[in-house]
Amino acid sequence: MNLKASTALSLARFFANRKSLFHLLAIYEWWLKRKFPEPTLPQTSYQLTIKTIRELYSHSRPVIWSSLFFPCEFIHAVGAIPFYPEITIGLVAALGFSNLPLEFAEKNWYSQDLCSYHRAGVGMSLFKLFPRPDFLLATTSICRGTAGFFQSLANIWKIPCYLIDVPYQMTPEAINYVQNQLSSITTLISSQINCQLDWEETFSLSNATVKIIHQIETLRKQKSFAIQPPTKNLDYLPYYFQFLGSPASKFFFEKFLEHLQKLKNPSTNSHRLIWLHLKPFYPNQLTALLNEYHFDVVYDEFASVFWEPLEPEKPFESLAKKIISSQNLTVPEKRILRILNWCEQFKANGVIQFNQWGCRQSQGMNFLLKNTLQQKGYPVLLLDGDHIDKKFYSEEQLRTRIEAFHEILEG
Amino acid sequence: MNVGYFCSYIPEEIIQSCNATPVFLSSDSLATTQAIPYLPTPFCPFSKILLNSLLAEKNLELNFIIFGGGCDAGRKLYDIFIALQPKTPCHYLHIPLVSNQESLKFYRHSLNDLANKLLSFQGISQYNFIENLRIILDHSFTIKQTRSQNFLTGELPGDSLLWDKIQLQSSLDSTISSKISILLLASHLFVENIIQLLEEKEFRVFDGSATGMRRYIFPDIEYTPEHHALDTLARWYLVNKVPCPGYNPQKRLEILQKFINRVGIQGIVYFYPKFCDQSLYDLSFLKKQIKIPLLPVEHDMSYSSIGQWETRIDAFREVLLSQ
Repeated sequence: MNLKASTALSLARFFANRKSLFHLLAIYEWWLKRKFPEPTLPQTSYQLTIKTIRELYSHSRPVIWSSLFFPCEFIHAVGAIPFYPEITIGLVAALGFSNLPLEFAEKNWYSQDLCSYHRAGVGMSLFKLFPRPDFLLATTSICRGTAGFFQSLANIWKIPCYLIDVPYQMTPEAINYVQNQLSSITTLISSQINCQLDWEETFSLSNATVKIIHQIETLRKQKSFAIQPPTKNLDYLPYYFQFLGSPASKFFFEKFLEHLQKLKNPSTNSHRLIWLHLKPFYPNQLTALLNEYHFDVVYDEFASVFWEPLEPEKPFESLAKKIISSQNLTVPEKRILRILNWCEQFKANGVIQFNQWGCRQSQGMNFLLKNTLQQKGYPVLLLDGDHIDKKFYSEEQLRTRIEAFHEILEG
Repeated sequence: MNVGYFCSYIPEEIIQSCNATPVFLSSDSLATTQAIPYLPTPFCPFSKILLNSLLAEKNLELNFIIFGGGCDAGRKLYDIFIALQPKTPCHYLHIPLVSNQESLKFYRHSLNDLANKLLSFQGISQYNFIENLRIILDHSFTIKQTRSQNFLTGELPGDSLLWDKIQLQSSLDSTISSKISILLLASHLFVENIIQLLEEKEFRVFDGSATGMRRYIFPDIEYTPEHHALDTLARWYLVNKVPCPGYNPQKRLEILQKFINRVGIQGIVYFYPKFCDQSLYDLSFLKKQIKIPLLPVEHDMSYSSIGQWETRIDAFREVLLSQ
């Protein structure tokens, strides 16, 4: 590590470990609100980010880290602050800072064949740059590598990890199994922090937000409509996951809907595509290439609502069903059926997946996915690379593959 | 009826109690040609070899296959196989990654589902199945307990577990004191060859692989005949068995640590397959927690790196000798 990076790292660590300094951000938030009383969508997002940073690092309430498919409604209901390391790593990569934690994790025996979201999360934790967790909660749904990741975090932060084991099928026994695990975790957390479980408000906010997301989906179904630039919607993942069930998420999606409704001539591109999995978050040419070849992303798999409305009178059962429903993204017959429905509803011409190098569950399904969708008449482009680790990025290869796919669609 | 399985969390007693023959799947051939179109490059080598073997070798004579495991590769192997061979009867057994009362209950329920599926094939009643299972558990308990005690006291080195040898070797080998005792941690692949190679290098090897310790050793196994047979079986495999990488890392560490201290293990050779997340996390964990030298050796599907492995093993031997 060179001197400049090392100094920057020491400074970052110094600030990250001083809770009181982050309280000062409240002044900046107040100033932002005064300066932008009617914030635009990017301003709204920026203000929410600053507020979240202040809350997380000043540790104003207990901080709960969780894996992507652990329902954040649970965390909001117990009155804690949710932190999703897999999502935040996307932000770290977007800032061009992911190499340091990745390298540091590798030096500590975390192989570069492991998922880079997890590897970088381990690196950031080893550096102690992420906000200190009070609890670690994870599910084994979708990806079982998550279990290894969270067990590693537990060793680094020296706190226990509560892991929810998730079966593949939604059976009464499976629901009962998951709901009992959730109930045990609640008892453990309640014994350590003074929390009053507020399911009513949290679930109501979550359900109301989902209704707005559905309104946005209705807009996106229009033939001449697409969110610009392509894949931009994936930058809003925190609002689909981390903030869901809080006023912040509802507020954001209201603004987002308003913003989309105001757009004039939102799309001039000609090929409508469904986007699977996530995307590379480090600075890259993907968006420029998609625009160059007239590709629009009309729907994104990870922004999809895969669960039924939550019921406050049966909180654990409801959350258990949400957790098991996330398997819709990994059980092939369910996943492929959902994608085919989107292709039809969103009038898509094809499907793109940007493969994540260390993701066994998605890559292991590539054959079935491609084969089935192509048989139904939807061309599939599987791009190879990594979402966080730029080592696996090749712009020329990306261009060649997108160009070839464009020819297929044109043909 | 021959029932194939490969995960050490799948109790063979279930299969036997359905009057079927358990066949632990491991391929002699390292070919992957037929599996390559279906599985991506960065993917578990064992899954590729196994899929190839299931697709290519018509002489396996399996009437039923049980898939299972706590990893994404195991699940995807099942997904691909049922899509390619929809007529082959098979079952996916969910193995909980956590070990507590809830998971034990669910695992027992899953074992019951598996048994019912096998029973419907065999035309055996549930009553007969439970009776069979009781008899098998009586017998199995004695074997498991004796074998575990012998292994954990260091009396079953080399390939004893692999070939289910009952003869204790400590009294037969007069050169033991001059050899360095090491623990081999490995998956299903190359275990026999690696043990042989390490023994040629004058190591006294203890087999901690998926086909050895992880499959056969049940520390603290208990048996109360009055308990329901399926409850007993669920407890044996989910709680009493040596955990595989990814399952209960703390308990796995405790068992390994105890074994290392008791037998006087001087080093660990960790022979792990490329792209195996479970092993990769386990390796990073053990590397930090275990205080004796650990040699990580990565392999893919071929035996072609043997020269490189030998060089590294020689260097490791020198490190251990110099201590």
